[in-house]
Amino acid sequence: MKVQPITFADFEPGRSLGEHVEQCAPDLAASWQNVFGAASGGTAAEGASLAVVLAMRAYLMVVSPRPPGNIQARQRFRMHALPRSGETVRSEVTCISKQIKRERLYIDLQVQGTRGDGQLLYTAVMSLIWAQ
Amino acid sequence: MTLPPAQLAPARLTVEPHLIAAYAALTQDFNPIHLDPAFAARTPLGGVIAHGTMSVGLIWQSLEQSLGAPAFSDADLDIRFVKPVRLGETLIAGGSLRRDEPRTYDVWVRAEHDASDRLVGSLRLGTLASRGEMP
Repeated sequence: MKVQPITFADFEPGRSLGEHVEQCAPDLAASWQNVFGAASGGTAAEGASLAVVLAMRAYLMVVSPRPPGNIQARQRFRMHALPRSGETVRSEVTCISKQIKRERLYIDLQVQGTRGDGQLLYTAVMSLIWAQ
Repeated sequence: MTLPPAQLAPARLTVEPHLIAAYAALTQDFNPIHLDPAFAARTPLGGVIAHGTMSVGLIWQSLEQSLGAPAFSDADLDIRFVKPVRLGETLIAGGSLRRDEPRTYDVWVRAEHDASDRLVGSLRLGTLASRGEMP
């Protein structure tokens, strides 16, 4: 059975789309160092980047399947605390607004990451131009 | 309290195919616009582009080199992706402190070869960072 991609019409502002729980595993840091260099390992920049990565992974896992051709136009990222290696992070994805401007379909998604004890790690808002 | 520097230290990265593949695996974003030259050539972008958030990693490196780990406490980054990053481009991230807002930097990621922006925005430091404290 073919699953239809999520379209602009499917988004409801204010509605949670779901959550993704995963460990900020050491292999994520190793993968990040493959891109930015081993000398950056263990730094705050690595931690902040991994928070962005966790937000992206949560969005891609929760909002699926997506139509081809979506574009991320803007991102706001507020860092409340840095994720620690090995800890479990719960990321919730919520549609916070949608609008049509100059025939483009704009979706704003908030991704909020928390620690196991509920402490807020990050709040990301991704502004996407949806393809259909 | 030490005043933040007027300029953020530059952070550089040359975007090579194996780095895009590694970043795709890291984010689990396997959109063919980043990975498949034949597919990407048929799109309006005309070729492979890097993931936008790869550039965000450079901003964080620039911040750490300039102000250290305390600067990440409650940092608020607000950026727009203004132009695609192409294969082979060397990117430079940096920032300038606003004169009228002493805790906010205008930040950018630019391509070295033409100095044009790929990402622009602002980075506001948290109050703890201003006092040099860790979260």
